[in-house]
Amino acid sequence: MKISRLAAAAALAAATVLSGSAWAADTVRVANAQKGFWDQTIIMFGDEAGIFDKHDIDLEILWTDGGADAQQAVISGSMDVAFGTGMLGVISAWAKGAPVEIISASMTGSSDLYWYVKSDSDIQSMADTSGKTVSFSRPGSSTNLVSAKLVAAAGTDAELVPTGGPAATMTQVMSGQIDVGWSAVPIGLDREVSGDIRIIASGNDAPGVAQQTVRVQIANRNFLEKNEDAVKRFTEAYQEVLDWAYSGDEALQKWAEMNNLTLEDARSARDRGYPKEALQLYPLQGMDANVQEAVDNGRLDEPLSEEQIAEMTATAKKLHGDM
Amino acid sequence: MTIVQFYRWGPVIAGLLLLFLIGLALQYATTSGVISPFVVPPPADILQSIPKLFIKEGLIGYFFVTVGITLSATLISIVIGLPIGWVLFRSPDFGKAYESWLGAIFSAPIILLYPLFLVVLGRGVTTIIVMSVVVGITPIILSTYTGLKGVPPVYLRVARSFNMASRDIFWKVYAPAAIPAIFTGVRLALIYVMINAVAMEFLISIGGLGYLVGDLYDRYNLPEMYAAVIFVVVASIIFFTIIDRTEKWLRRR
Repeated sequence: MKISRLAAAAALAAATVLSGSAWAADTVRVANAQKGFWDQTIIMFGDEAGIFDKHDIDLEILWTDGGADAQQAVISGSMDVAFGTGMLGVISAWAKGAPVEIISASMTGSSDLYWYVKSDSDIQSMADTSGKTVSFSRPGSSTNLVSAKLVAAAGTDAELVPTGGPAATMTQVMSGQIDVGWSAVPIGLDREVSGDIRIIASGNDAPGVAQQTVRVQIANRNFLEKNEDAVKRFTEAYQEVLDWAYSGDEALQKWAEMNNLTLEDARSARDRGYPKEALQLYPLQGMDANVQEAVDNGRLDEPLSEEQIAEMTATAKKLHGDM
Repeated sequence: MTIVQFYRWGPVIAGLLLLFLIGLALQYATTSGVISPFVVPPPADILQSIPKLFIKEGLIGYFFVTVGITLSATLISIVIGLPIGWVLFRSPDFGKAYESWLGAIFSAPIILLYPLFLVVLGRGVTTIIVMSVVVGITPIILSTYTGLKGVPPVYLRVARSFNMASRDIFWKVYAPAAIPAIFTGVRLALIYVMINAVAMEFLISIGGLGYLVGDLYDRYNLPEMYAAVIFVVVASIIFFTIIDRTEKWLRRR
């Protein structure tokens, strides 16, 4: 009798220990650069839908004030993964030896960015911007690079002016201080619907930008080395989130509520700014162009060699090669 | 070193020695891995990057833009703030009515209103100067008001017993007695103006050292970024030295 009780207690203890270890999810701390943008917010919706739980990932999201802050949080090791950080900043940090690895693309092309004018403006396209002011967020940003390419492609002498975020830019356009403003989907699209503004260019209109990965997801190298399996499961879970977000309306509904849009307006904004192919996790595209822009922008002293680029993208290739 | 020389240079040497020791400790911490060099670069790297700041980044231009903005905003604050402080002192009812308001403005985070200033004044150096004046003027008004209020009545009675004219009482009694308090206000104004100017430059990507620090941060040039921060401190030291000497000069007179 005693023996059977002992055996039962031992079996119960073993089951508790085993089940405990099987259920213990790995925590991944994610620094996310921009709440509200579709490509960077669906991870939160996917987590709420329980997709990361299915992959034994316990997600902790910290919203930061832009990609540079998210990247710095990962470099310092206070966060494990950064979402939606600018490719040029990552190239610069990686080349300088910072402990970061690219784990996947986040956004390829700049279909989410658009340039607009007041509806009564005489500017119909970028070709009409000679002697006018064209805005971007801040020097060295992706909006800076894309706006410079748009103006160069149009062949005008438009002055590029830093105007800060979309809200501040909208105010400056509507008050007449700036001729051409910038924004990112879905911010400001309600103004287009109401007829206050007219969109004259998309980020993808800039030559070569549509085939260029502009934002990536990065992981802290030490975290990656110690938690390779967790990072792989994290990436698989995020791929599932992407498929889920485009296959039904659940994520779209949440995004619409977050941005005070109707479901149909949200769908239109998503399809226009964030087509699914723009959010593909792999391959990383236009790396040569990215490296050259990093040099032109003062982020790198000299271009990276082919071997260095291959080394920089090796983790993403390893993670997604067999997916 | 004589005793007089020791008392003159001792504090300076002690200060520099402490700075050197902190630098040494930081160098050890960053090179031994206690602090990640990718978060705080070793001080030796920061010092090495200074020539690059001058040659490649055009530091001198940025430095003088920040110095110019800070100097202009502080001077405008003094020119406007001193008379207002005097008016509040001469009209006690106004003084009582607005002293608490000024105290509230002094402690308010006015920098949060920067989008409003951008809309009204546009995106330029003018906006930074105007915002800095708004921040810098309050401590000058308050210190002038309290400094004048704090002049001992006995000074005034003595002055009147000598039949001094009002103008002479102002220049020979009020002004010298209130100078220490007024300069405390000027120092505070300078601190607030400089913080505001650098923060605004950082926020709206226009101007001098604040813009440079933000740009270097975005480009992940950390040693240069910290070196640029050192020059913000250098600008601050220059201003404080000027104010200190001006105060001593005025008090001697």
